[in-house]
Amino acid sequence: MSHSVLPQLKPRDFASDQEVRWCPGCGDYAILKAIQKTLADLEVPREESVFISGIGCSSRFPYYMATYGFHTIHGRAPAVATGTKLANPDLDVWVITGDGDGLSIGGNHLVHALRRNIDLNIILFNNEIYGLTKGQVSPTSKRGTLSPTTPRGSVANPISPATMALGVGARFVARSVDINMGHLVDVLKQAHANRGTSFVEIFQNCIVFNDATFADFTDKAVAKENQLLVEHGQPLLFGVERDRGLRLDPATWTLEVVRPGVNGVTEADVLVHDETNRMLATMLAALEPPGFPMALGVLYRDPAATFDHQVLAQVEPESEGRGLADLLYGGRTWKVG
Amino acid sequence: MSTRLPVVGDDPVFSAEQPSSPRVLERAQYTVEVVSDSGEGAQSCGQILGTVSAKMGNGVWTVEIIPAEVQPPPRNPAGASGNRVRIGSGPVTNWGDRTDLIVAFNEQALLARHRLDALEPGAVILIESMWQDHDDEGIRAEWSAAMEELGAAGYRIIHVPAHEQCLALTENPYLGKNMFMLGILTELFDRDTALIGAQIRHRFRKKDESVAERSIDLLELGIAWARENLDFRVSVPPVPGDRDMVVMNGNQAVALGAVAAGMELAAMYPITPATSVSHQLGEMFERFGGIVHQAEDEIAAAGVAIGASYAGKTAFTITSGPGLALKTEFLGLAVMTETPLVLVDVQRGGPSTGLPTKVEQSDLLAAIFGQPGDAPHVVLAPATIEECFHVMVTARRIAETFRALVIVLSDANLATGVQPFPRPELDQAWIASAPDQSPVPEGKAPYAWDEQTGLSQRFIPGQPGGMFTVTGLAHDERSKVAYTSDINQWSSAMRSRKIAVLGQTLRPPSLNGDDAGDLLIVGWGSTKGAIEEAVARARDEGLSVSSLHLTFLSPLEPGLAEIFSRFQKVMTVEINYSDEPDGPFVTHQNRRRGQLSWLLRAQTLVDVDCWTRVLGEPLRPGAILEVIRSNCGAGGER
Repeated sequence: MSHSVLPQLKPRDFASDQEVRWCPGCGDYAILKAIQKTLADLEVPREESVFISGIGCSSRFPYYMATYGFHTIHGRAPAVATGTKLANPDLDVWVITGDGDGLSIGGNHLVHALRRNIDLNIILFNNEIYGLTKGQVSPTSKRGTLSPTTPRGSVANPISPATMALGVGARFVARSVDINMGHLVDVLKQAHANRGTSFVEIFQNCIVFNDATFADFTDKAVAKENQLLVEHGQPLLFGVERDRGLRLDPATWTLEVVRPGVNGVTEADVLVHDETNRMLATMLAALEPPGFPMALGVLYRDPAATFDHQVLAQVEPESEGRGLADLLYGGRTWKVG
Repeated sequence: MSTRLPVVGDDPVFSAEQPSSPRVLERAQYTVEVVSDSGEGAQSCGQILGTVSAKMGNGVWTVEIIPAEVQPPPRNPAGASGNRVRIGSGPVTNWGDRTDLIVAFNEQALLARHRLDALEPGAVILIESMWQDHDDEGIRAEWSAAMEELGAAGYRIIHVPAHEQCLALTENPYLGKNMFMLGILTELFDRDTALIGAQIRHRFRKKDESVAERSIDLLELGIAWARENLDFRVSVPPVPGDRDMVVMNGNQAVALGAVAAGMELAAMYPITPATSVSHQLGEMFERFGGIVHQAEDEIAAAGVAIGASYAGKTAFTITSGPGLALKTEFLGLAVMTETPLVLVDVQRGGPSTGLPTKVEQSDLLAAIFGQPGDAPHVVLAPATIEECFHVMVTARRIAETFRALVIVLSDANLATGVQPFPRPELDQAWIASAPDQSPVPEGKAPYAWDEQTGLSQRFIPGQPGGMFTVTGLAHDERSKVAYTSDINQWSSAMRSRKIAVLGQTLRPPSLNGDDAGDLLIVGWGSTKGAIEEAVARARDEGLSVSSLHLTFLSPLEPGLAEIFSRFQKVMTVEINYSDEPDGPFVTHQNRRRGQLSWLLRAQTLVDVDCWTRVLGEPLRPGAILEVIRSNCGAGGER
């Protein structure tokens, strides 16, 4: 059996022999398929891909991949991944995390991975709930969420993962939906192609503890109406007929929904997506139904030098320990007498 | 002990007349302290004296006197900052009991040392005299009160007009007085001025040349002042040797040892007193292909080291007690996934923030047992600064060979103490060979445990055919999650067996003193020098006492129960807390004992007593001697 690059690997070649143990109907199945298809399409060598996860439903992900994997501890996958990437920058390192893992217990590590811009693909499965521990509120749960630990409804405001990522200096921020296979694979490929920390938030349905929490923009009946699929250089239009768009209200510095051809609005008034514009990306990330569409796709991409590249550029390996001899045998050494 | 200097009280004894021929005090060893407010440079003054003395062939041990704050309020007893330098004709293994001579930049720092019982009765005090006639009435009052207290104690007090003298060369004597004081010490101890000058230039190598030049001018001013005004000199004759020596502190030794061991990544988060390891590495690690990674927190530092090790680099992390606590879960992951990891814990006082700059040996049990669940791993402790260097090679090798977590317990005493030791002869075998990246044969498992040894070959990402997911979950040989009842029992046994195998390779510890007798003192870590000096003194008094020092704490070195059986009484001496046996509510069963004592009792079933102190300073050999005197012939703990 050859273990190196096989030109015609299929998605199933990236599936391990482990039995998948997510609940029936879990959105994670679709994400698993999408990532397996992404890697197959990209023809990456399996032995050079590493999936590193924390704890939670999403973090079981590495078991199901026929690549290298490291199921670490709760929230800390970005730290382990940072070490792995620094040790071997040739590896393709993916971090699989969830809203609890990445934004609650592991928030610190996620923030610092993003601001360092180390070359990792961080995939956050956001289901707005703790699944593995049976349904407690998560840092992305909507206000009022009823859960065993908030029986009268949660009163804390949720984190917007994409907004947070933009706020701490991420250079690549994208969003997709578990069941939008084509869109998700496309986003994942772009994340993979980006050098630096690529942050992808996937809206993922937890059928058991938080079913339909994203229904207002993922339900088939409303998806087209309420999803804004952004693309660099294209006007920010959405709707079944692509008849609505986003315009900047110069009086309030906010986005507003307009209909070209109505009330004197023209196509030219609709904003064109510029993925290098952090301010625009931040405004897009904050939109949500009702009243606004959910912006999906690459919200922001503005590559910069990666942490790993810059750190390793400072390292100048010397030959075989000779330098240490110089240190020990040089100024520090003397003979007494 | 040696003869005492005459007691003269608090009047300055020097006079303008030049002593024609100063008395020379011949000493086998002599202890000096230099103390100032933080930032006035007493530490560098003491360090240079120590380093140069080592280079001249003296045995040396230095201890930093450090306040917790960077800039505590001036002239405050709690802010005393400086260095103790114990100089000997032969090797010096510890900081000794009390200081024979102290140079103080103000009377409050001096008072702090006096109140800590740091000064020998009759010690010589060289005190900056500028405060005596200070403009501030409050300061003059403080001076008078301090001098009254010190005068009553019977020291020989010599006033040094350092500030006034330095004004001849610098506008701000606060930033140069230390070099003037160093000049006095250079003259008093007949130190090689060329070596002193070279050391000063080295210290200021990153600053403008004029800084070093002015410092040397101030040094010479101090030498000249001492020549004119001091009526004594101290001679601690160096002993010529034929070995090349190096001198450094324990944190520098850890850093150089890490390089010698072929370490490739050090992940850390700033914490006293461990941080300077990373500073030392920062100056050189990149040249050896190494990386210092300052992580976002202590936990991440452990994670980065584990991630790097997982990907085939030799990695370690450095911390102190609070950081050890934070890293706990990751240590369990390293054990569970059998990812090699070295952790250096430079212990300080605890619990919680504790005594950040002071020595303690209170992390032993946390290091061995601190990880929830059964997490077999290795704990070892260097006892000298030389061992701080070599322990890194040992730790790295064990970690790689056994796919194990190795915790190295240094402490604040070793970290900042400076000592000369024979130059290590570098060995290529110390450096890890590159991990095997050849394709994994089909069917081979990532935990193909050898039933006899528990050992297995790990797979490195990038290695063809090794694509498994390692996990902190209980798992079988193929790293599959354990869903049946026997797997966890079996894999736990395999992880434990490795440590038993390592234990089998260890030699029984050697005894310092006779093989049998009334009392055996057992120690670990940085207390070795003080214990052995105390034992030597006690044996000179005719007491039947020996000592034993453990390097491996987990697994323990073999043969202990048998060795213990040859002594009437066995007790540990440690820098951690224990109840006094006769304390209120304390019973033989419930007494909380020194940490090594807990361990030895559990592992040997011998009634091992203990004597421990948590005074925020290294143990004094004289104090240990008292313990030996009162325990020789005393039998077991009662």
